[in-house]
Amino acid sequence: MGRFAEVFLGILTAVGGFVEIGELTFTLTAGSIFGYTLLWVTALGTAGIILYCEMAGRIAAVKHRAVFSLIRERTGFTAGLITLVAATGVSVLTCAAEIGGVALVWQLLSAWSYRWLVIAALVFFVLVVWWLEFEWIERVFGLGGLLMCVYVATALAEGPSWSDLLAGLVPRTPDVASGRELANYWYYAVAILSSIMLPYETYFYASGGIEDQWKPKDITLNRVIVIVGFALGGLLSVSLVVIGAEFFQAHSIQPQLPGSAAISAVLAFGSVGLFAALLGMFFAFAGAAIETALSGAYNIAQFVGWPWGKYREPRNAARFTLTWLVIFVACTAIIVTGIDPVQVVEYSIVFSVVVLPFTYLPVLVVAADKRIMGEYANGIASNVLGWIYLVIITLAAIVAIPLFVFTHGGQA
Amino acid sequence: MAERWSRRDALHQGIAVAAIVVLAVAGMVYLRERPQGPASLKAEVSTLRSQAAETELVLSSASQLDARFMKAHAEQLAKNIERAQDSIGNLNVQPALRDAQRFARNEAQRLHGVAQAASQGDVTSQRTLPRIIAGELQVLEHTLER
Amino acid sequence: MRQSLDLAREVLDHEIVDADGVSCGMVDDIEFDHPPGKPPVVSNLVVGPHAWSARTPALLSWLVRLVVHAPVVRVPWSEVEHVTERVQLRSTAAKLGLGKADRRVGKWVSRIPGA
Repeated sequence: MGRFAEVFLGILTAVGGFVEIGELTFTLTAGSIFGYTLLWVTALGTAGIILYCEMAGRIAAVKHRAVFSLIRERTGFTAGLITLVAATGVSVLTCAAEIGGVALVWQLLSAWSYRWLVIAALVFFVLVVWWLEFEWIERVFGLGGLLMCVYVATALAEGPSWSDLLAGLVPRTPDVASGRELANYWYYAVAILSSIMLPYETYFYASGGIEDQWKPKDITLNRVIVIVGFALGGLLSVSLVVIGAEFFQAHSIQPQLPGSAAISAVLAFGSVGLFAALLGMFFAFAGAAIETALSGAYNIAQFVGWPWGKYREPRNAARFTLTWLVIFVACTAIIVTGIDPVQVVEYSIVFSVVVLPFTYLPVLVVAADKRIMGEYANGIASNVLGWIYLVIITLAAIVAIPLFVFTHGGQA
Repeated sequence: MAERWSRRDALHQGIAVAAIVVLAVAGMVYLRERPQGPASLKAEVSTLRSQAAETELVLSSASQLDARFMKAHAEQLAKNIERAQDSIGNLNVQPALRDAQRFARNEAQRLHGVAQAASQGDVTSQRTLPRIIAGELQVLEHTLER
Repeated sequence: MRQSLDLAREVLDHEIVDADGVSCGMVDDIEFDHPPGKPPVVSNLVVGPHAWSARTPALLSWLVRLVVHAPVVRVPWSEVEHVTERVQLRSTAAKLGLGKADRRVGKWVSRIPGA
């Protein structure tokens, strides 16, 4: 395929895959409660995921190493094992939530029984991941997820207050009456940051670079995809904040269901808006389910040294294949109990932020190391920004769980 | 390969881990059994109020929504309201808050009825109820804030 | 091979790749010979749960030994072709006794259509 087509597809795939059910509900709710005042976190998170995915992608292209083998090498076995257990737990929770999200969306389209749709989703995912090649999985779900751009159109149709929007990009503490409201604000700030920088995205992106057999010549491709693609994906997140601020705040609704998000699109664009929103959410959640299940399998395989990758035949990466199958089955078992998927993803987002520093530190250290990366090591900008972000996510990791408890999950 | 650990070390660590687990579980049980204050009840009431507002939106825009989507969304909303009702009912609140808890639970029950009816296609018979419930819950929220 | 090698940084916990380029484990431990009157010499790379568990806290180590019974695999240092990002071996995994579990699971997986 031509270089230009490859870059173009890569960008579109990155945009379509940017949002999953946790980020959708958290950003809409944050907009509904706080208006535009948390917009700066969306920008901060988007810049952060661009920075770290670029580094992880570069390491994959130059050294053909993915994140978890770096973690083991750099942090030592025991610390690496703890990170692996935590990261796998978080991936499983996120995957379960996305499977639930897909079943919810299918129910909105078909009005069939939710529990049967969860089982159907399991069968769907197993068949898709088993039969489709990696690049086709990326393309189908990435491009299908572009339908989420209906929310960009919806945001514009709502007529955002541009002055408030621009003001929201400046970090500040809000003008609130009580300590509880302030804690609530920071809880949502941490949650949005985490939902944009969910660790599975970096694991999947780097492993995907190895699946796609990237070489040093692909570094520019990596950079363009990550910068342009994720920045455009960030625009989608901004649109969700706008919809929260302009639509849901006016109705005093904190949306907790995919259908709630879809209503905003329906009222703006009718049936076209409805189907674009529902199909867009299906592809986005399904893509996230596949990414989280595969990244769980990638992590374990890379940590213990099993052959891995969709580019191998399943029988030649047998334990890796078994692992993602088991992950899908386990996630379905969790979600079919009837637990609220949005509740599950909230736990996953809160615990993810605790895992983030352990994920990003080895990536930063290796990407900055000239002995390993040679001429492809970090420049000054990447190093400085990388360390600044590491401090930010470490602070977020420390306060995440206390804030979650104190604010009763953002309901204070 | 030299043995770098001894069974005694493993036993000591096992005891330490067990102690931590017991303490953590005891802590969680204590926090759960301890009577909750207004903030905990307010958190659940906020969720319910938002659900009431959303039910009202669904009913008022029903004519603009695809019927199958509307019914399915109302069913999902009804399920969430039921969860909120159970959360409120299961809260172990301070004695002074028991009336407020009972009130919120009844409101949840009424709201659940409306959402359930909407999931069957009935969007007119209780059209004004969600707004009334949302208003009452908002008053309750303000009371609990003080 | 190069004149010097930092075993802790460049060998331990690195991926092992066989002659066919297939990943067949990680360097979970390193064994040394101690010839009398001479400095220690690397004898084997050790692969397997009992190897890495020996480097973890005692409780985890004990649990691993309770649950996992597969013996470790010792890869003679002479089998190492070169060390870069990965430890490249001269022979295939099967010949050295590595990757047995994957081949066993692979037989089972290959029964599914499309494997």
